[in-house]
Amino acid sequence: MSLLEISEVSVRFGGNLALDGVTLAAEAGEITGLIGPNGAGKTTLFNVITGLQSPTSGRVILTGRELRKLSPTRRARLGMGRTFQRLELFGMLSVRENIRVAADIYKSYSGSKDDPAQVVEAMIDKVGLRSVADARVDALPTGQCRLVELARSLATRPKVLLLDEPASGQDDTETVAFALLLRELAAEGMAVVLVEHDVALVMEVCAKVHVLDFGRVIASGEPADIQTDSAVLAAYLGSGAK
Amino acid sequence: MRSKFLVKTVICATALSLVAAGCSRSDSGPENAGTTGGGGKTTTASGAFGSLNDVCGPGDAKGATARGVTDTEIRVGTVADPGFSGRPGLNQELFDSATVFTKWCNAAGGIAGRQIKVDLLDSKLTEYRARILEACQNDFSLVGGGAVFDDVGQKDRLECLLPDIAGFVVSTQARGADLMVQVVPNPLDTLPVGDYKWLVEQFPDSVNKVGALTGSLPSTILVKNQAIEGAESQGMKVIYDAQYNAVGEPTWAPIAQTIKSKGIKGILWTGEPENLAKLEIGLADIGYKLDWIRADANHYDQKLQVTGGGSIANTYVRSTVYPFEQASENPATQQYLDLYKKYLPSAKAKTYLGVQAFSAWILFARAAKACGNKLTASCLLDESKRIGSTTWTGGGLHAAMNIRDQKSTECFSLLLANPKGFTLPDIDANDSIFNCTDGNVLTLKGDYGKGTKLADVGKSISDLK
Amino acid sequence: MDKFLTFTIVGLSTGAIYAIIASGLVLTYTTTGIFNFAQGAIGMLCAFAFWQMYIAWEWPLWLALLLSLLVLAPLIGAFIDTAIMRGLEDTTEVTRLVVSIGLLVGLIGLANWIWKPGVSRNVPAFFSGHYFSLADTRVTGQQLATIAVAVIVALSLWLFLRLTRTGVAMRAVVDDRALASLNGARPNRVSMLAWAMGCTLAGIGGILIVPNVALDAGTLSLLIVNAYAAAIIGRLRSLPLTFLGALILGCTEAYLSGYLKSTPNLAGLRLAAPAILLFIVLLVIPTSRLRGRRQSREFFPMPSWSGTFVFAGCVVFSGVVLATTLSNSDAVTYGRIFAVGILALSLVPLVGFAGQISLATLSFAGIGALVFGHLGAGGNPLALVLAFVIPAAVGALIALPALRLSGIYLALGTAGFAVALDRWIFNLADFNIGPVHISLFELGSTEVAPLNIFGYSFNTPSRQMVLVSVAFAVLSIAVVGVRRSAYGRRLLAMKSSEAACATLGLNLVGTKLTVFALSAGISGVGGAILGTQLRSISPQNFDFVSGLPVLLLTVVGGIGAVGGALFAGVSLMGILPLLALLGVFFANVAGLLPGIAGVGLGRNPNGSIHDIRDGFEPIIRYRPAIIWLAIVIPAVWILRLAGIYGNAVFFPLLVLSPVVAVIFATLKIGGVEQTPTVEEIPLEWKGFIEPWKESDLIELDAALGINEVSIHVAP
Repeated sequence: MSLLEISEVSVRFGGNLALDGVTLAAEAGEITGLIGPNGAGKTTLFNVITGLQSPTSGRVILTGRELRKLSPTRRARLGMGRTFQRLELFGMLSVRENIRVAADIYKSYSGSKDDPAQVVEAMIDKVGLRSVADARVDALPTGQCRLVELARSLATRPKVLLLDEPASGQDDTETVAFALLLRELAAEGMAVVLVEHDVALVMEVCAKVHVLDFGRVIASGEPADIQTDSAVLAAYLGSGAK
Repeated sequence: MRSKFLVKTVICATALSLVAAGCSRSDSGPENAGTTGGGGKTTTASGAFGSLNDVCGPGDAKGATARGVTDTEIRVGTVADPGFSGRPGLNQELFDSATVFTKWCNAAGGIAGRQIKVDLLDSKLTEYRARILEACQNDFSLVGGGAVFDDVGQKDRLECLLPDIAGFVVSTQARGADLMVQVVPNPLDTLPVGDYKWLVEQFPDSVNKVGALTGSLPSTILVKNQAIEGAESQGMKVIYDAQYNAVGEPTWAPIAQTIKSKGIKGILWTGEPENLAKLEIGLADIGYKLDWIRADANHYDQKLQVTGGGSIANTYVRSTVYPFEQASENPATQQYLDLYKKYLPSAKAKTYLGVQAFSAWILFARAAKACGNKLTASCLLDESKRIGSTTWTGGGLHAAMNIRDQKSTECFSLLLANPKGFTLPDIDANDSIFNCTDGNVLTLKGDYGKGTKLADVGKSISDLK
Repeated sequence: MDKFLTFTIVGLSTGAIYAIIASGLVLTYTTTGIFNFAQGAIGMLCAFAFWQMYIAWEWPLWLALLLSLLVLAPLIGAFIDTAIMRGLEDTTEVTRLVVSIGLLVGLIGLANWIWKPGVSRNVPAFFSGHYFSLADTRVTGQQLATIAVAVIVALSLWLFLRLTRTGVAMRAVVDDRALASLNGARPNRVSMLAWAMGCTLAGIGGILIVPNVALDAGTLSLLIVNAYAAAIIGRLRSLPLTFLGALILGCTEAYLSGYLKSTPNLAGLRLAAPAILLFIVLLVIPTSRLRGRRQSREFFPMPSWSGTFVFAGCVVFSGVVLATTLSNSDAVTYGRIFAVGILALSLVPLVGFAGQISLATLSFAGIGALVFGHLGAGGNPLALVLAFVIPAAVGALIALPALRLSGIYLALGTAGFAVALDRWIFNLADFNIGPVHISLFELGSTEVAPLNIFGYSFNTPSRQMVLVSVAFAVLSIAVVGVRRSAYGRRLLAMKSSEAACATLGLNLVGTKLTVFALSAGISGVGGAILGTQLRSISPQNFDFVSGLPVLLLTVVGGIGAVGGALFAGVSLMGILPLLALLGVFFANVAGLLPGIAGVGLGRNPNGSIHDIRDGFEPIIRYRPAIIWLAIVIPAVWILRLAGIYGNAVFFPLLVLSPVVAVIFATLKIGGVEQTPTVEEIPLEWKGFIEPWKESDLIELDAALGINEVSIHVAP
């Protein structure tokens, strides 16, 4: 049984189909990639999965349990974590405080015995933000902000981690470190779903890749296969591959 | 940035200091209007008013016998609310009557030779307590004043043993308060019902179809409840009891329509002239005629006609003051108008509150004069009640009032409002234009609260010097 | 049946007025995202202008109408948009709301200045003398005209929004402002048009309603509270539903008038009906989608404990100084500074930390005062605890329906609650709910005993001054404690991004509930203490309108800091009354100031308190200045107590000494340490010359006119 299953999810508003019968799955311990042109519906899909938006039809199933009417808060407490394409940091707080909020929240509902302060330090080190731990997040470059969001999400020990363009704003060196980090997370047993424009990164770390275009999945498979799929090439890959 | 902030600070601080200096009140007293000095030997006016001789005049009263009293001067305070920013000029007539009376009285020689100095205390609706505390510092008595929220100062007034010869009172705390003489008594336990009796006799068909209407303010709701008890004691049956939005009704059509659909014939109205006018317009709009509307004395006001125009009909305003329309037939009223013209020509003289306040001043002057060299608070209160007795008319300004017992008056008259003004219907008058009959006063059974007593502040009448 | 028909017609004509006003409200909200609390006030201004032209100057009717509705109203709208609202693009919802409240208060002040209140001004009914018989009643020409105008307005709006290009552009902006920008629509032009149209609609409503109502600035501006429910029924989005809602509202009021049994307790229900309807609607609206992060310029630095204790110490010290030097009457007047300060303080956690809005501060204060008055026999301090707990509980109950919805609904819900209290509940005589006897203002006023702690009674104005300053100081420390705690962090996080908080597993409703209850509780305590100062409380002390300047000035002062609360108290109960004492002109200015300050918030959304604090900073760093102050101020005070001089000399000295110290210190060691200003990088080079920062995105978006950040894409 997959950790996360999305089954025939459609989202319609006005006359448009933002998502059309999307079906995919994410396995524990694997990184699943989700790519596609702008406006394909990737963020919408994430919104549906996390409960920030209701689908017109379809189901989202987490560890065998259908999440139909559950609020984003409930879903988070069931083990879903996410980062945002347009950063949703707590601007007024420092890096440390951003993560601390998450750790405190986690402790309040999980009954965990871990000291939140220590969890925060661990997360800071894990993503490599030690040098800016006390800085206010508004003043940080985007790449580091992404890492803050990631660390914040990790502080709630998610089982499923949805990352929305986490590598955008990172330079080459940072991207390499990031890839390593992703592999670590997967190795710890998380199901990571990665939305990215950096196709090279996706192809490198993902076990499975889905391609979304105009709300529909036009291709699914292993990176090697996707890179040569004609439909995909036609729709998207032409100018992006390295 | 640094120098800009400095400049701003300096300016602000200087301004603040100037304001603070100019306005700290620990030394200076508030605005006053009485004329001081002038010896009192030569008089420029006659001290007689209406049917009363020598209300004011020269004399030899002496002795600093109480707070605010010296050999040559009596310092008193008058409270009113004209400074309220939401309604500038509210009850300005209280200040005006104080000014007119004191100028006239001082010109006539003062009270037994002592000049009156009056502090005009503007309570601006929300500062009554502060004004009372000021009066407690300086004044011998409060005279001829009244405030909309007079509940908040009663305890302080009693704590400093400040008497009040009141122009009017509003709250239950004030209506039943100690150390007070109301010149038109408005107690909590009695109610004048003569006008209800008259309406029942005149409009027998309306008796079972009466409505009561008031604004959404607790104080007026209480008054309306008393009116209902009074009306029902005379046989009326109130079948419709509603409130209108005191802040403003977007339209009077629902209320007018309800009145019509219930077949209401008479309305007991507790409110203010402008809203009554709107109601009457609303009734005229749907073409419905009432037999009568009965309104309180505060509707003796041209605002009714100005707002309501041709829709004003069948509106009876209960009144105890002699109407200005017939001033030429009543020397006291005419003299009142003349004094206003002489000493404060720009003021609005034709107000019922102005007359009531003036009457309070006359009572005060006579009582203070009678006390002479022994002018103390307790003497003032005792003499006011003795002189006022049960038939006080302020020299002929209004109907006979029971000052001694502070009970509602048996006398009433009605003014019938029409689009142009007011006329006097025939009410079987037996005392000039007033109907004064035993049985015109009802002892109320309901509980309408109690006034503030000396015991409430840990004092007793023996504390009063 | 006749009766029903009759009342329906009556209801429709009232509803027509609400519909026109509410549609303007919805139009501006959907197009610009700003809920215009001043809608009624704008209508009021147009009505006054119309009166001035048509009645006072006796111009022809058509000219007066044309000028008020097609010239004045749109100009006001355009002005508001360009001069005020445009500058609020990157501020929080709270700031925008407060600015519109500032506009409301300011316009009332302006109208009262130009047209003195107390004078009767009347506009005769339109088509007076013309009637149409219908069923059992007569419909006046005015009523028919109102319904006709409403129908025309509805149709015109529908046609405009569907068929014209600008109208379609408007609807596009509604759907997705950022997208509309990118596709070439010009949101700025659209919003200016929306404001102009909204104001015209307000003007139409105002002029239609004026023959029924007295021409009074406050009354007219606030009648619109009735129309809020209609706008809510329209979900603040759908004009047809808004019209329907307005008609329902009008009919409900009419039916209640005609059919409700007239018992004393229910008499006020009709007046509270719009507010109650608003509540019921809030219960059934589907939960809002969660907001994403709105870029904002607001920033509230973390308060330090040392600074807080110094602040608290100064507050208590000034309370003692005032208590020992002011006359009784002045102590009563200026003691309200700290009492209002406590009410303002209640807004700091709720509005400043959590970013939620409450307009019912005074109502909770009233409940607290009632609790203390009735349950605190002899001034029992335990009643003070109840004065916290009961308002907190009531607050939680009231807020619950609205908390799952976005901020504006909470604001309107609290406004509805406050109005229902004012018009109905507070006016009730004693009543029983089951075994519980509830006593309110007892049809007049209620006595509140002075606080009595272990036999020491705070029953004189000077003792009360000390008490209230200590209470303010203690509560300030508590609020700072909240800010520095983990709970405070969560509140700030929630304010930044509710969506992120939800995806981290935060119970949003629960968190909002606790902070709302906390705020209501603090208001309750403030109300109780205010009650002991007033000695006798009546509903007028706690009405909805009086609460607006408190919110205004706290935000102007700095809603994220306890200093902002003190700023509000000092301005409202200290500076403004002092200003008014200088004369009529200054009284009028004082009436305008809160409004102007509120409107000017866009320039400095963080509030003035930070600038003030920065100004004092040099003293803190310059030792001799502190020593000087520590000697001079007590000396000046002691001399005053000894009677060497009076207050006229004392207060200027007191005010000038810190000023002198500031000036001296600043000259000696310089102003606030500035980080050396970096040469401003041109917009197009951002991300190239130095690493891209998130705050650069804010700037870029503002420059491109894209400012709406939402998680959802659907309408």
